[in-house]
Amino acid sequence: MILLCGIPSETSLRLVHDEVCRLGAPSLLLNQRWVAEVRMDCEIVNGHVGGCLAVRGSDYPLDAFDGVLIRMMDDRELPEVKADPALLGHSRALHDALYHWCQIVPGRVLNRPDAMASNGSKPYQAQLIAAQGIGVPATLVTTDPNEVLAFRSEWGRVVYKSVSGARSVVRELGDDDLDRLDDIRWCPVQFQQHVEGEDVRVHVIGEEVFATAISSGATDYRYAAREGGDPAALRPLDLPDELAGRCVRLTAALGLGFSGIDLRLTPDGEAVCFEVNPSPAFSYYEANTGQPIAAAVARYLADTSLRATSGRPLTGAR
Amino acid sequence: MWLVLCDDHDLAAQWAFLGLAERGLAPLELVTSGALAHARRWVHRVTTGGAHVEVTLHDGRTFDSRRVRGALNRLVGVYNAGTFAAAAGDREYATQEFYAFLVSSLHCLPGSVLNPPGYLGLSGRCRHESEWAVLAASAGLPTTPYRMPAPPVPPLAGRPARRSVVVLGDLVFGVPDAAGLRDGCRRLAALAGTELLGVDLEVDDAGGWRFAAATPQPDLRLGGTPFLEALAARLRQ
Repeated sequence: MILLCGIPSETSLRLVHDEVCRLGAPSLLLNQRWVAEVRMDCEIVNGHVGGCLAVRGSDYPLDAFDGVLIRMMDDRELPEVKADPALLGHSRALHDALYHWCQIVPGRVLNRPDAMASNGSKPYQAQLIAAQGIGVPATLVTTDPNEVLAFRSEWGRVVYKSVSGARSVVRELGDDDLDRLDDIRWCPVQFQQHVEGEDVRVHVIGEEVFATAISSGATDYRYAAREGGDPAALRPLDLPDELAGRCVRLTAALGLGFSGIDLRLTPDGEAVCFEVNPSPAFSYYEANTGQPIAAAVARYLADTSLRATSGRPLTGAR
Repeated sequence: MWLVLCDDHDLAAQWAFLGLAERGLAPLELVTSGALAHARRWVHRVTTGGAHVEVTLHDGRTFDSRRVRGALNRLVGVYNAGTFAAAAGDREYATQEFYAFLVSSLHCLPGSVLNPPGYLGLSGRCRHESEWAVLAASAGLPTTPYRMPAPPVPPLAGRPARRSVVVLGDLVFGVPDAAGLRDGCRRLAALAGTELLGVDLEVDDAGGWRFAAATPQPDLRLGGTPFLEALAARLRQ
């Protein structure tokens, strides 16, 4: 049975739920907003993870779930919790138990919490990416303004962005920014060489690969319209087999079953990787290209459930 | 150069530092979280070909990771003195940024690093009790049933007697003389990917030993002189 956790109106979750239903795989869509009507009781005995998930009066044995997709929002921001502060303690305990259960439950989990953590430090993740033989941009994280000036002289165009997983808009370091460069003495700041080329988002689900090319004049294509430019244009892209294979191996090496890899393909044919997103909001890419990413996620999650029912594995695209 | 990285009040690490110095590990430097918090200058570079970090501490000492041969790493958390006075929202962001920076900086230390950092722990991955319960059972250690959400912790007086064990790779220090415990502790460290691990064992109702807890930051002093000898040899590798 597949457990889908999150807010059902969130597009990516809704698309996967639709595809799971289309496959006919048994599933439970756990709406986070039902928090007051959900109980979880997990017990580990001699390494076996058992227990019960009670949702709106129905009980589900935890060991019945062999596929899990987690796309949960911060439970403290749930309208139900904000409206009823007495619910906060229950909500915290429930989400804590769900989170830790996702780490230990056998089966396929997209993605396990520990594997999602590498994205919390971008230069750390860059070291893991480089170890898998994929290029990363030259990066400097420093508190020394003189090092930044030398780095800029070396690379010409330089961008800066957050070191942590905190969402930030990538900006190019301009002459105006130099006036406040001394501020970096208070906390290390990350600078990167600007890499010329075309942005490519690669979604990897198990061994299936969907690459999307993005054309945009903005430094950060996600914010192209906000910065006054044309919206980004997306199209499906066939990656060379060798590069697709590297993306699959990188995803597996990070312990992920599902990833959103941000690449830039340079004019001389090199692939440079900026980061690997462990909880990609893929619906934007699917809506703009028709690539069946949600269907692949559903197949991946349903593989064990349907194999148990039909005795044969599901086949997928590349 | 070897480093001992630890919190300012980590007496076990300071004991290990003195023991390693006596065993001829040189040059050997003790770098505390307080010293890192007040560092004057950081330069960390990451490229496809590798990564390194240079730091200048407030006392003038400078370190370059390319000259490090190994480290005993016991850091748990480091605050950034530079952002201490920032406004609340900015301070939280800067704290997150500094932690992410440290994870990456420590990750590029070469040689034997016990324990290496990850995003879930600066000196070895912190695991929830439920994870340890599953891993300990997989390692063949007797375990007690664990429930989530966890019931209230019983008062200290009602808890069974405990003994702490230190694992360093294939070596286990302070383990009770009971069948399977030594191998179980060794397997647990291997399954956890934590070469230097503390394992707490407790007495069960039948008088045997069972798994109680584990930590990547054990009290190293429990291993005594044999542990120091083994640690020095491991860091020299």
